[in-house]
Parts: sequence; C-alpha cells; structure tokens
Amino acid sequence: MSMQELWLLLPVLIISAGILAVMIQASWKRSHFIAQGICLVTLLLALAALIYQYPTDVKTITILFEYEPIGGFFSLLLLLVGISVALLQGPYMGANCKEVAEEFYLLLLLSCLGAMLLVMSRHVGSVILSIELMSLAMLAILAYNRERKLALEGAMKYLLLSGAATSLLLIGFALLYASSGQMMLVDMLQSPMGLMAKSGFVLVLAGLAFKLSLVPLHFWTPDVYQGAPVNSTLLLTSLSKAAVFALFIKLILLVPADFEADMIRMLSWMAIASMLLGNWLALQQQSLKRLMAYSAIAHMGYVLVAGVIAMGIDHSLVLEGVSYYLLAYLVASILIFAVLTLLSRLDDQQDVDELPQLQGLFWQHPWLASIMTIAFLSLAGMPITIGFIGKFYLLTLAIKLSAWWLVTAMLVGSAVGLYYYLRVIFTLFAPAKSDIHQASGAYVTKIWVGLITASLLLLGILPGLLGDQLRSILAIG
Amino acid sequence: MVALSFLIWLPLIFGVFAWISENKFKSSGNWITLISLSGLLIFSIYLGINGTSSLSWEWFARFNIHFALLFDGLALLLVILTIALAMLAVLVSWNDIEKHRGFFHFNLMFSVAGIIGVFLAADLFLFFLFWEVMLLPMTALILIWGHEGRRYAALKFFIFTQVSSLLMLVAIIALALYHQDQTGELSFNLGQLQQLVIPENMQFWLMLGFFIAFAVKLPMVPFHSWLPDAHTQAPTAGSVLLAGILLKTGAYGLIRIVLPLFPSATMEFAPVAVTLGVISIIYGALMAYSQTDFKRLVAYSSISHMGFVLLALFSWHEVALQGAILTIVAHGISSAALFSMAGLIQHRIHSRELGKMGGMWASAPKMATVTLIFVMAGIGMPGMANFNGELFTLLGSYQQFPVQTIVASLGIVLSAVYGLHLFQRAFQGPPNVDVVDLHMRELVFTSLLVVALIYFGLQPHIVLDLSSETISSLMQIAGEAHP
Repeated sequence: MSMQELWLLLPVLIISAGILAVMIQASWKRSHFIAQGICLVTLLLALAALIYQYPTDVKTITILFEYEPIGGFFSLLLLLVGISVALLQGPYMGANCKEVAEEFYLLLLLSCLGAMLLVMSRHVGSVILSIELMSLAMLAILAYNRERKLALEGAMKYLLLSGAATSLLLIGFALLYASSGQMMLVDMLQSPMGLMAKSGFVLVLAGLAFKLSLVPLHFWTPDVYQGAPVNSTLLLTSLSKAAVFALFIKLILLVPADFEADMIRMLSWMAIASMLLGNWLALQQQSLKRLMAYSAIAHMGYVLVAGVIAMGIDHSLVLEGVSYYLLAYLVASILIFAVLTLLSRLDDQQDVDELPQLQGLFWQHPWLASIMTIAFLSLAGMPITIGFIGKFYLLTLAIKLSAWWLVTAMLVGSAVGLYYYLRVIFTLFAPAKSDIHQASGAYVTKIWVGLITASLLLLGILPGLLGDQLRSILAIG
Repeated sequence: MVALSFLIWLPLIFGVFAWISENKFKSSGNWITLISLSGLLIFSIYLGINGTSSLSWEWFARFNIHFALLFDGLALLLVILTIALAMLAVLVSWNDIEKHRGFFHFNLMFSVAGIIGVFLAADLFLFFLFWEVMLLPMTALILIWGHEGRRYAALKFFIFTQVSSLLMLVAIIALALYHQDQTGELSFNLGQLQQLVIPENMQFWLMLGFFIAFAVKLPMVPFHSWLPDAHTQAPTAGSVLLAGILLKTGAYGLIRIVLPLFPSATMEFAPVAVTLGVISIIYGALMAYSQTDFKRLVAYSSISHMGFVLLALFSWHEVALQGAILTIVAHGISSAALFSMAGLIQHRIHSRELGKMGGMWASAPKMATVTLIFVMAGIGMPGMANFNGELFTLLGSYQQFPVQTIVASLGIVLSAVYGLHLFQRAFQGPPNVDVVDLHMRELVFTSLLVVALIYFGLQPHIVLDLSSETISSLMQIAGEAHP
C-alpha cells in the first residue's frame, strides 16, 4: 500500500481515528457532550477530507477498495446522514437519560465506517466485511433502549433475518466464485456465466434486496422500524439503504449482456411489486414509523426502476437520476424522522409516532410541522421540492425507454402515496387536541434541520444548482 | 422583462407580509392584502398597456428548461380577472374568518401567485410546477377554514387534480423527449414544441394526457365529482377563487396547450369532447335543479356553464372560440358573485339550506335585488356578460356540430329553471327568516360586480380585442391542420 493510497483512504481513516477517540474518551471520562463533540468533529473532518480530495476518476486502493466519483457522491450522502443522526441524538436523549450515551456515537461511527467502505468495495471480501460491520453496529443501535420491549423484538428480528440475508449473499458469492474462480467483483461477473453462476448472482441480489427491503423480501421492515428508537430508525432507513444501493447499482451495471433480459424481467417485477405493495400497505397505517417503513419499500421500488433501466441503456442520465432520487429520499426521511425525534424521548416506552398524537402540531409548533409537511410533500413528489425533481428524472428515464409498465406502476404508486402522505399532513393541520412537547434548546440541531429543509426547497426551486453539475460531480458522459 | 416575474413574486411577498402583520396588529391583514392586490392590478394593467412582453431565464440547463413567461392579451385578461376576484375574495370574507387570519391571507395570496404563474408560463415544466403549486394553498383554504365536511372535500379535491396532472406530467415529458428525437435537443418551450410535426397516433395519446388533466379542472362530466364537494365546503373566499378562476385554468390549458399543440388529434377527438361537454351542460343543470344547498346548486351550475366552454373550444370555430373566452370571463364574474351572495347569507343565517331561507326579500330588499341581478346574469339574460358568451358559443358550434348544439341550447332553458328556482326559494314566498340587509362594504362590492356584468354585457369587444391574437393564431393552426 503506497502513501498515495493511504491518502485516498483519508476520510475512512479519520472516522477510524474518531472511533478510537470515542472509545478512549468513554473509558477515561464519561460525558455525553464530549462524545457527541468528537463524533461530530470526526464526521465533519471526514466530510471536509472527502470534499477536498473528491475523486474525478476511478483510483484503486489495494485489491479491496476503489475510489470513484459515484461512490464519492454516495459517501457524501452517508456523512450527511451520520451528522444528522449524531446531532439529533443529543436532544433525543435529553439531560438525564437512563441509557449510557457514549456508545451510541461509537456505534454510529462504526456503521458510518462500514457504509463508506461498502460504497468503495470492489472485492467480495471487502463487501462482506463492510456490510457486516455496518449491520452489526446498526443492530446494537436498533436496540439501544434496552427497556423497550418492541425495540428488543425488532432488533432480534433484524438480527435473525439479516443473518439469513448475509448467508444468502455468502452462498451467492460462493457460487459465483466456484464458477469463475475470481474474487474481484468485476472479474467475477465478466467471466462467462453458467446456471450456477447465474443463480449465485440472483442470490447475491436477493441478499442486497433484503437490506433494501424490496418486495418480496420486505417483511421485516415495518416491525423493525416501529420497534427501534426513532433516531435509530432514521439511520436504518437512510444509511443502510443508500450504501447498499450503491453496491446494488454497481453490480447491476456489471451484468453480462446475455443475462440482461432475465434480470430486467426479475427486477422489473420486484420494482413494480415494491411500488404498488409498499404504497398500498401504507394506506391504513396509524403509526408514522410503520408508514415510513412501507413508504421506504415503495421508494426503493422507484429507485430500482432506474436500476432496471440502467441495464437497458448505457446512459449517464440513469446514474444522475439515481443519485438525485436517493438524495431527495434521504433528505425527506432525515427531516421527517428529525421532527419525530425532536418530539420524542429515548427514555419513554414509546416514541411519538401515532398519528393522533401529532394532531394539530402546526398550531403548536409551526416550524416543526412546516418542516414535516414539506418533507412529506417532497416524498409525494410535489413541485418546488427536491422530491419532484427526483421523480422527474425517473419518469423521464422510464418514458425515454418506453417502459410503460414501470411508468404505470409509478403513476399508480404516486397516486396511492398521495393519499396517505396527505392524511398525515391533514392531521398536522387539524385542530389541536392535546399539548405536544418538543425538545427545548438544541439550537444547533434545529439550525441543522432548518438548513436541510432550506436545501430541500432550494434544490426543488432551482434544480439546476445540483442537476447541471451532477454530471461532472459523478464524472460521467 | 424582469418586471413580469414580479407578478408572481409580489403576491407571495405581500402574503408573507400580511401574515406577519396580522399576527401583530389584528385585522391589518385585510387591508394589506386588499391594498397590495389593488397595486398588483394597476401594475398588471400597466404591463399590459405596453403590449405583449416575455421573459426567459436559464433555469435547469440539464433538461433545457427555462423560466419562461409570456404576457399577451389573453394572459392579461385572465390575470386581471384573477386579481379582481381575489380582491372580491378578501372583501367578502372581511369579518368571516375567525381563526388563523394571518395564515389565511398568506394562503390567499399564495394561490393568487400560483394561478398567475399558470397564466403566464410559457414553458411546460414551469406550467406544470405552477399548476401543482396552486393546489396547495387552495387545499389549505378548504381544509382549515372550510365548513363541516372540509377534510373529505379537501382530500378529494387534491387527489383528483393531482392524479390527473400526473398524466399531464407524463405527456409533457414524452413531448419533450419527442422533440429531442426530432431535433436532437430536449425542449419544454411551448413555442418550440408548436413547431413539431407529431404523428397522428402519438398526438392522440399526448393530447389525452393533457386533456384529462384539464377536463378534471374544468370540470367535465364524468370527472366532476370533486367540484360540488370542494365548492360547497370551501370558505366563501375559497369558493370565489375556485369557481371564478381555478376552473378557468382548465379552459386556459385547453386554449394554450391542447388546441395549438395537437390540432389534428383534437379535431378527431372533437365529437367525443363536444358530446361530453353537452352532457356536462345538461347533467349540471339537472343536478343544480335538484339541490337544496345554495352553494351546491351554484357549484353544479358551474359544471353546466363550463360545458359550454368545452363545446365551444372543440368546435374550432372562430365565433365559438370568442364565445368560449367571453364565457370564461362572464362565468368567472357571475359565479364568484353568486358564491359571495351565498357567503353573505351564510354569515347571517348560518346555513346554506334553501329550506331555511325564503321570503328574505321582505327583510333584505337590497340583497334580494342584487342576487336577482346575479341570477339573471347566470341564466344568460341579454345585456349581461353571460348572454354574449353563450350566444357566441351556440352560434359558432352550430356550424360544426348542429345536433349537439341544439341539445346544448336546452341548457339555457334549464338554467332559467334552476336559477329562478334558487331565487324563488331563497327570497320569495312567506318570510321565513329575518336577515340584516347589505352593509356599506357589501353594497360597494356587489354593485361593482353588477357594473362589471353589465359592462361586459354591453361592451364585449374589450374581451374580444384582448384575445383576438390568440384566437386568430388558433384559427390559422386549424387551417394548416385541415386545409
């Protein structure tokens, strides 16, 4: 490993150093404030390092990792999520929390590390290692409040099912290795594929589809989302989805030509089923976390549309569309969960997430309610929000390819989605029933949330700001 | 011309200003909204005097999308109508709004900005953006300040219009991609898209995507079912804006987009559209007759009147097109007038049921007189604005679709039936309730409305002059499509 390779690994190294620092700090003097500070500084430094040496072309770092623009963009998103979660944890735990505070930041940094490594992976070994690093750290985060029964139940479900998914992934890679004799992802998929290799590839995709909660591997999502403390749900819905999707799209782009038709058929059905089922099941949910779980299923279906199209044509617009859509989805998810986090407390047995609990939020906390409204409108794809631009990209792609089934499913899904997003928004504006308490203070967190909301609107109103640059950021075409 | 975009920003800025100010000083919001709207009115007339103006800014270069506005005679006409009716909306709900008054003014101004945006947009992406955005404040108006069934009505309103506009979005994107196929460059610009020669089959599907979106807004039977609920449940100001302007955006879309972009598809589709228009006329009129709710009755009558617009537009005849535009203006004024009367009555007797009214002439003769004039305008009495519109429509359409037009003319007879029925049950017969007659403020704006109805009835050429350019270019397109 040369100095230059180490230099390229700088963001990852910074996070690793941060992990050690939090560990040492926790054994030396326990302090929520310092741990949060170290975590934030680490993430911000990593962000700065990433932006400073943002990749313009593909550079390999040993046999395990590569450093390329698309991965760089996804890493930016991951760090954005990490910073949001770290900032939100402070007000969520409050001053006198029963749970210990420092370990959360440790786990958060670990899962960020896993996610960033996953995005950079180019080898089976690094894929498995980083995906497990991310998932295991996340597992502990999901059950962070040990007194909540639902959280434990959810984490247990996640542990078992995620284990099963990882074993699918392993078997898949084993089959691919057996037929090709290669461990590098590129070489593995470019050698001629027999039936064994093909089934191996399908198993790998199934393992990843589990993490993305695509239909029919979505069953764990609502329970885990509902059980977990709301800030952890945010991490689950954004960090792991974005990182895994980066790998997913990388694999899909490597599919050999003779296998493409089958893959398109399979993934199209998964996308259509996810869009329709996710939206359909979200209709009658009373719990916002469950609603967001089903909405995540639907949105992953939308992004998968781009994945399907990526195989059909070799076009830069696909990657732009995926990046923009995921950014839009992440921003909206961060905002919705941020509002819920600011209204909830980790110590309580339940988070504030039932719809009746939020009734009349607008008249009591207009800012929080406005943020939530804007975020839901963005998920619903209303213009002047970033969500619309994401939807516009995907629709353009699907229409360009005349994929009318996908277009129809997207339209039906959006129409159904509109109903339940609107139901939430209407609840926020209904006459207030009871007093709702929000976390007092926490100005830094609130400013950060405000900044994200502003950027959501800004990128929706002036889509050119990012859209025109995206091509050069991703260094395609 | 940068000033053009102020027509969109200014209402938003004043809306925020009114919101903040109302929270600080009670009832200052009314004045700020009213004064800023009058300012806007003068400003838009000033811009209009300078002739057609346009503006185009780079906006989203990746897709070659521009922030392009076009301000011609037709747009001027509708912008003036919008602002004037928004002023009416403020005046009519001066003391009506009891809670969250600041936010109410913001929503009112926000929807004015959105609607003006729709009328000005010269880029389909921008058009779609405003088309969707104007829904938000309108939904809020219904949801927060509406009557008993407001939640259901708001939901239905939003979902109907949103879902139909998704089809339009698909059509817009498909159109832009087709432009890329033909010329190598994506384009959302209306002017550039008009140059395209689109194959028949594709034209039909694209046209359908736009048509459904506009037909829902118009509304046309069978896509009308959101309208009676939304109009009835909305607060008076909301009903005024909905009936007066929002419905017209559908007609405007047909004039600006569907007819010029897809001339041959629309001509082939015309028999279907015209028949649906005639069904709307008759169905709306019959349903209006059977209502016992004042606002619901007027709402159904709107369906009937907008059927005339549909009939006229798809007849592709110069006189009929003039009739359509006259009807748009006339119905905008007369339906808004009737809804504000409904609002005034509801403010007094807390009911919209015709059964609870009756004999109000005795206690409120001024109100009765004014309502009678509005009803007469609505049923198309000569000398009032609506008469010209309907006459022109029937005259023009008869030359293209004689059978349908004969049936449609029954609509005028039926409108007299439901109109007089309405008036008779509310104001004549034995006195049922005592109401306070019109105050000074109410008298002022109702008499302005009366003046407007009579003025446009006697001087229709002002409207025709402003829209002549649009109509003649439409006729030219028609001539090229089917020589």
